[in-house]
Amino acid sequence: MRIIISNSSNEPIYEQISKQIKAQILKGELKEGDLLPSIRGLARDLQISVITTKRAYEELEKEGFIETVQGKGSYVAGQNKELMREKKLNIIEEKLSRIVEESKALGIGFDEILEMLKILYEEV
Amino acid sequence: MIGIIKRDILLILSSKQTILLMLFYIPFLMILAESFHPESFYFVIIVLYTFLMSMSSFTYDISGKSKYIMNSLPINRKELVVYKYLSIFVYLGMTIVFAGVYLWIIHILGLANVDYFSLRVIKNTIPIVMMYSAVVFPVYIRFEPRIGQILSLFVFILFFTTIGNLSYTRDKAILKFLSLMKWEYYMAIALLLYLLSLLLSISLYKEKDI
Amino acid sequence: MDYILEVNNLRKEFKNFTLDNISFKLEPGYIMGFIGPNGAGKSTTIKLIMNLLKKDGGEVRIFGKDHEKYEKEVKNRIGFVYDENYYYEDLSIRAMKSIVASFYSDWDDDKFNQYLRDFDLNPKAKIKTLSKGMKMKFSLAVALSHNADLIIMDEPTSGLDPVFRREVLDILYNVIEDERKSIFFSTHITTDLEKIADYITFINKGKIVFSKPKDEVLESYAIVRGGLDILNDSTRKEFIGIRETKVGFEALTDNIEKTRKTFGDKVLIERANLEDIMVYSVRG
Repeated sequence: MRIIISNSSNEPIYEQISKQIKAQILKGELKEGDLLPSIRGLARDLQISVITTKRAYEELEKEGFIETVQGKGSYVAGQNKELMREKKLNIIEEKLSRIVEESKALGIGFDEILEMLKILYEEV
Repeated sequence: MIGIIKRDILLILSSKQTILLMLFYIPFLMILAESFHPESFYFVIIVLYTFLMSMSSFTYDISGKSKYIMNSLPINRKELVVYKYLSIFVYLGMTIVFAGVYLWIIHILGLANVDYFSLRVIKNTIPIVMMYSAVVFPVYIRFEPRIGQILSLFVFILFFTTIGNLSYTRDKAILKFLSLMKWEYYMAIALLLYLLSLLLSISLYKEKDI
Repeated sequence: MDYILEVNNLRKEFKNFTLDNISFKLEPGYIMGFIGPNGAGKSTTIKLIMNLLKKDGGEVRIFGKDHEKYEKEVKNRIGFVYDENYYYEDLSIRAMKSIVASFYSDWDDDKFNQYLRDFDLNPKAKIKTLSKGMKMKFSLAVALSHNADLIIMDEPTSGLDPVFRREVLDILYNVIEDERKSIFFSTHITTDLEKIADYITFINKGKIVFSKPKDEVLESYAIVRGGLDILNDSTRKEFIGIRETKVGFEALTDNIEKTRKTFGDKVLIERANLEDIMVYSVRG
């Protein structure tokens, strides 16, 4: 499991953590039933506050990515295939809406974006 | 409480200053007093040494810088004070042994005519040491260490001049009074003062800012 | 809610200084950083908590018990490390340890010896031969060797180099893995707390400025930078502290939203760190 946080990013640390764990779950790197590091162990490894890791885990639990069992720890929750797909789509949708916003602000039209998307999809 | 006793003994034994003082004071006093009554000398040594030891123990807990450590340990203030009062008897015992051995060696070597043990003298030192502590301890607790030191020195000198004067007095009235006083009376007064002082010290220390 | 340390309306009056209305709470399993400039009252507060100074008002509960009524019981479970560690200079570490250990009911000699090894301290060394850093390490070893549930530290790392300070933080991280233990840590070196603290209590001139989760603190303050042209009397009031120079100003705000709305693009808004918050709050 891999979590790298940036101290200089404007994004709050708990969000960085939850995003990375989310991504690993969605990509399948973390499988259903996998045990996550304890809140305290993670805080110690990342050298951050316990409250921060707690918050990250709480977010993940709220969104259904993990389950916490009292006394045992947090596990990757069983991901319903459809729900997973939906979550993945949500991530992309969020990013796309930001792109749409900015394009409109910069005056770049829909067709141009579509063109760009096509090229990028083939290149990347 | 044993912990504190252990500590005090350890501290006294580990301080080079104190050891030197203890070793050289006896010969120093002997030189100072050209002629002395062996019993009086013995008496003075016992009281003096007990006094020195109990005062140095005070600095560790109540007036010295290490008081922060001591008072942060799990010990309550009442215990600390009670211990201080009881410890004078421990020091008395230690002094009797130490002085006994030291003076015995001097006696064996024929260096001077000294008393190295006298039950009668020891009996007399007990009320003196108790009364002395009763007066000095609360002062030490209540006032700044420096004032405490000056005052305790003052009391000490006062004590000895009084006793000295009393032992040479020709005043009939005083002599009569002194002859009536038995050791038991002295002890009773000393005990009373000692206990009152203990209560006073406990309440003083309880409210003190370390 | 069971707090491991609870301070309510603590008050102490001195001739030239008053500590007033000091209140904060700490739950088991967390670290609270206690920050403030020199002379703010940090050491005084800690001495009051440890009942070294007699309080004039308020209450202090540790492990749910009044700290005076249950003084001995409570102190048995507290490990303390002070700024000046006045142990008996003439004694060796070993001798000092045997004295201190006899007061605690739960002394763990194996643990202590392990710490001595980890810290590279010679048990036979006399305390007066130890450097400031080594004395502090010794204090820490003692504080952590009697199964204390609350560790109270008063400026333990002032005067010590960053390498050593980081080592101390690592040790504290290990301690806090046990969620029944808490650490209360006063310092004016805020960078130490930036990472490790869960809560921050900020004291200035004898009063508590705030006592909040560290994340919340860092999220609610920001450094604002801009040109002098946008400053006027009313905008100056928006900030907690301002530093004006010939080429612009730098200020601290505790209301990021409002600042954004008021100034929009004209200013640069950045994360403030604890030091910024402390300095601007104190200086104004």
